Amino acid sequence: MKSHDPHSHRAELIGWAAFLVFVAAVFGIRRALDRR
Amino acid sequence: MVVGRLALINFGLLAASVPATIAMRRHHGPIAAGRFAAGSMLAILAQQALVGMAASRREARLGAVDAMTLSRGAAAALLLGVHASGVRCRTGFAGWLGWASLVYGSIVCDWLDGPLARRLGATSPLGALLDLEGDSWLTLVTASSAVTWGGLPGYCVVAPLARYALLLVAMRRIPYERVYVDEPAWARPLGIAQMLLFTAALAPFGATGTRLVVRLATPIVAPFQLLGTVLIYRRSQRVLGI
Repeated sequence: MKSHDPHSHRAELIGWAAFLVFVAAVFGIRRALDRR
Repeated sequence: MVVGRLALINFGLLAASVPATIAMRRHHGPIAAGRFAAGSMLAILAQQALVGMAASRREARLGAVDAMTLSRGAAAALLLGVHASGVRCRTGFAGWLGWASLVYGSIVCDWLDGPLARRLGATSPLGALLDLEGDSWLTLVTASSAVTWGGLPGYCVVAPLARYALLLVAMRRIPYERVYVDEPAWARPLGIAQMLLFTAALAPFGATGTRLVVRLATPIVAPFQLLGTVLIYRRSQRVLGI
């Protein structure tokens, strides 16, 4: 039977959450720069 | 003046690979670090030689925003350096370095250089060329990386390679400036989906959930990207009545 490491799931979630926050921040800067 | 600015940008891009080489040596040893340094620096020098030719042919001046656009090529060069190092560990330092380079090149640089150029009034035909070619080059290198140490099947490289093959075919009939003049609105989201797939495949923190999503998305995203590449080529021919 396979068991999944709960730490890797947590690291994966934290990683993607941080990535999304980063992407949102860059997108915000882009919008601010393009605002006339 | 063009040469002076180009030399300055060359120096900056080459200098950026030095701390990465030192860290590679610490984590993966002197042989891997030496191969990384050789691969990344050769890639930067080759890119800058092409940029120098393009700039002098157009008698264009390279500005600060162009330097930012060219740093996307440096991100691709760092990925090529990881290729050359022979380290194939997605979760190790080399994996993190490659992934961080990809995120910088495809998100920070790609999303901000255009708005910055518009805001500073620094848009130019050379800048548009560097943006388009930098994007395509980073996509090809990332696809190759995602296949080599991200576990994606080899056919994921076909669409980024086909872009260059079709560009060469198109340029036998029409000038470069006309090939992508009428790019359809769906091309960008398709490109984003492809880059997101590569980003997920190379994510050093990716575990079972990420691998499952990547496995399910690959047979959809990769063929659609190839189809899109072919349709963009056909569109460029149709627009000109060829």
